[in-house]
Amino acid sequence: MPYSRLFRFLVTSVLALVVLIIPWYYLSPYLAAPVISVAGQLMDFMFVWVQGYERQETVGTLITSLKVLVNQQGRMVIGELAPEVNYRTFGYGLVLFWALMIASRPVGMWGKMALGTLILVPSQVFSMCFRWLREALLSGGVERVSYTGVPRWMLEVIAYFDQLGFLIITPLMPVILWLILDRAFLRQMWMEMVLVGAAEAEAGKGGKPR
Amino acid sequence: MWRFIALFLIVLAVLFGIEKLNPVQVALIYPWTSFLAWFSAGIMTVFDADVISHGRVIQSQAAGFGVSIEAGCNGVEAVLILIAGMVAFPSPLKLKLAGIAAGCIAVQAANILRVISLFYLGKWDKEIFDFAHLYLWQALIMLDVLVVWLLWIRAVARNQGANLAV
Repeated sequence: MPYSRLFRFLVTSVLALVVLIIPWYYLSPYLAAPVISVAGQLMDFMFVWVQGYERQETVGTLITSLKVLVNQQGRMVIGELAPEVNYRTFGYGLVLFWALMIASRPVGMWGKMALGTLILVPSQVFSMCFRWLREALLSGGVERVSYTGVPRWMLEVIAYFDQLGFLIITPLMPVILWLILDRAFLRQMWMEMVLVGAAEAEAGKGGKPR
Repeated sequence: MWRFIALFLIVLAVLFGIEKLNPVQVALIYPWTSFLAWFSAGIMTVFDADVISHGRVIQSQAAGFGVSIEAGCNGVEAVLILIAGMVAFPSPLKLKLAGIAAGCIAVQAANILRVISLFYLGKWDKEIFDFAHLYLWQALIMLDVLVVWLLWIRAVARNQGANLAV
């Protein structure tokens, strides 16, 4: 694969990313709906202290029975915790996936883009659930942990997976998905460069005095 | 392909776990992030004498506006993804080491561009800063990692072709 083709891939993907991220931003309330719905139901099913969830555009609010002490105009009142998570924080990878697809133009591109959009939902749900858990269990101090009964080691696991979801899974999943759905791109590049290397070595041997 | 992806994810999970250990954060990540703030501010002072850095913060002396470089903005995770991609892909050790060295520089160079651009975007408009910070630059850095990895894959393939011809 000549450098120009990889360069074209880079330029096209950057342009597609910059162009598509704006409509994605405005469409994200619709894209957020299934993600928040699945994440909310999953949390509701998994934890007894979860009472339900609400969605306001791209923000999902987890309704919990966890009590917190809140300072309200100088006096302490008891409130119920309702951590909020924005879908966009974990959803931007979708635009990266679309941009990579447009730049590499695989066979059946539109179908693969639709399929990839669906496949990315579980990773977005995963990241969203762990962010809710972090906000619910790790941001509130010792007293909250004492009555949720979550052991210390589990809190470490939640912190690890929250960071993994936010920093690694969200940006990386679209790239892995692209590599899987357009294997021909990498295969073709590999074969072309093996041939280039072999041809160069042959030319080098031919040029040397025997 | 599947073997590579499985190995890549395992290596990445281990590297990320090590990075998140408190002693590693204290000994390596915090100093690196402070260095990044200092280095980025150093570049900015060439054309903008108003910029100073202290710790992980880059600040405008006149406007009082500042940005703090936090986890996810220091380019460390992007570098870990690249390293895992190179370690997991079958290739000679020499090419892995050369790729990791050059790749780290390329990723961090893009990250410095991100830090500088975000500083000025933040000074200009908070909403645009948030948009660029949380979505656009995150995706662009990942794209940078992918392109660096693809360039390295080219070099590995070329090397294999040369070995086959010998």
